Amino acid sequence: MLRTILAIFTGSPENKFLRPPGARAEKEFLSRCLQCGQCAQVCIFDCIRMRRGFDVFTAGTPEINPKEAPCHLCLRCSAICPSDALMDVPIEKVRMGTARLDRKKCYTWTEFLLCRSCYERCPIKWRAMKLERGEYPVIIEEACAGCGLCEHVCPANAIVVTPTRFQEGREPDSAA
Amino acid sequence: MTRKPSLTTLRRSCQLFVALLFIVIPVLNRSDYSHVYGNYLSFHLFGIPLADPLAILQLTVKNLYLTIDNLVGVMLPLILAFLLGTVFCSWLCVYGLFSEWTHRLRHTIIRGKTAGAPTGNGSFLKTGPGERRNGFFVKLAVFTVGFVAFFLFSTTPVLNQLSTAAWYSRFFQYLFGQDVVSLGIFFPLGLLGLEFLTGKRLWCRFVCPQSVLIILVRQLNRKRLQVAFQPEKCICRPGHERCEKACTLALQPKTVGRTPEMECNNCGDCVVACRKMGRALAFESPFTPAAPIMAHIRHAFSLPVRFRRPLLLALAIVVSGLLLATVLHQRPPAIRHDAPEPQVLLTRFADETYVLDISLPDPKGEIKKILSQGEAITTQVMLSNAKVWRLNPQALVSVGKPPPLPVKTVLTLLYHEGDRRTITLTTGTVTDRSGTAYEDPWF
Repeated sequence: MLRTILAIFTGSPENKFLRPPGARAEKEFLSRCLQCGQCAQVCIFDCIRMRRGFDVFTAGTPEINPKEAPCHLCLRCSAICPSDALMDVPIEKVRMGTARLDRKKCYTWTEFLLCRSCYERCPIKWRAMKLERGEYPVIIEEACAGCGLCEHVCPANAIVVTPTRFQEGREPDSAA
Repeated sequence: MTRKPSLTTLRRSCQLFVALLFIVIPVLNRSDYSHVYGNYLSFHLFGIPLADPLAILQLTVKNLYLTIDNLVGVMLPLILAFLLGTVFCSWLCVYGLFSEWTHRLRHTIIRGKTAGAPTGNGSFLKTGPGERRNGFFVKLAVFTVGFVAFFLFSTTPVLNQLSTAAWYSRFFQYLFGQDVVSLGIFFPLGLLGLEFLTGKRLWCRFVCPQSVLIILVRQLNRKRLQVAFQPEKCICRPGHERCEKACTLALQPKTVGRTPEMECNNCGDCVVACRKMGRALAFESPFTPAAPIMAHIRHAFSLPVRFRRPLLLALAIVVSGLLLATVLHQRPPAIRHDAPEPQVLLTRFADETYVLDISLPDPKGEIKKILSQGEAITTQVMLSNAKVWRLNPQALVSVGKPPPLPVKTVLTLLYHEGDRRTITLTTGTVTDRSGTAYEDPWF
């Protein structure tokens, strides 16, 4: 309640951000994050941002908004995190979220155009994203890292990445 | 003729250097320089970790887990405090610097009005002989209440938000790293305003929870570096001691060596003030032979006066030049995308069908999206297909009669980095393929 009021008052950004790759489950992540911003400073793609607003519990923790800048899975951030809030995880085990494709909006699925933007950019191509019948993009949710590159490039805004912390039953990153 | 560099000068330079460091670091990091990064809560200096003891304590208590990085990071400041006292507060903390400046500013202004008002004489928060150590116990109470509240109600290390120095460094992280002006800077600024009004260094003396742990660790070492008083040398009139006026924390420096003085942070202002009088106060520590070392350092730095000014000036110019050069040079180079050469093909098929075909190579995958606009273009977005962007489907410019030439198209390229670039294409040449019928290759 207090947080909601604060969020309205300060106009802090919305809640649907991703945590950087290698992040532990949300509660544990928050209790380990020092809010030092080193992950944001080491990110060469400038996709990790320190969270703003006056919520004293989350201000200064890292966030990724794939619409603005998606994660390129370079994993520099998890390598330098001093307090292991971000763990060293191999790239195929990263689970920041899951991309969902809305077939009613997708240019290819609606047969409006032939578009392969998302497929071309996917860093785990053919494991996390396949082309059904060679044309229609399909996201394999078990393998999707949730980096948000596809959401970033989709011209039809048909892809949305849901952060892992909002998904019941989905495992967060596990240590290598 | 030589002059010893004042201890105050050394200390101010150190404080200023640290204050500037936290402005420069985010700028350097923005341009992919990553040997030094972090803020006051946790910091990496060429691979050496440093961390705020209170922040690490909060993490450890909540998780019962401590990384080696954090352990080393927390040991370094604690060892420093164990040997030299809380020099962090007086030599490295940015808030200490601004607080001292505020204090001095107030006293230069007030002195004009009420001449000779002794420091530490407010109606409340009075610092008499009997109340000398009150400050630390207020601080300890605040710390305890804060820590219990954190332990009961919070999972995040919420006491970090009380670190004024962290807010300072975070402000520049937001400003240069994310182009956002953070309102968090008003927290330390407001405190400075309050300190200006009351004339006390309120935060440093009574609240700052970050300093409690290093004070406690410092107290473990009875032989640490501290101010010692030799009564036989003192020549000040009682009640008009220079050392007491010099102390921004409103302590009584003469008693520091004899009674356990919890608030003294070894800034050395009283020692410097006493040098002009009887030299009764000096840094002393039976554990570390401070005096000979200090004398040695001072001797090493001492230079004839006629060299000192030009040398310092030259040094300042070189340092500021280097700083400026790094900042200017290390700035991310303006993104120079290789100018892509679009291929435009206006083709005439059988039965006078004119088709516009635009393709744009993008071998490195820098382009995020291309918006196309033109007289005869039906779709707005160009689509990527394996390193080539295509107008898709091709635009039927006209059917049945030749179009008015030249055909003009405007492409807006949106790059991943946020750049945008506009290309205007005109074509007047028509390729003749009237032998074949038009067939849309995509459908």
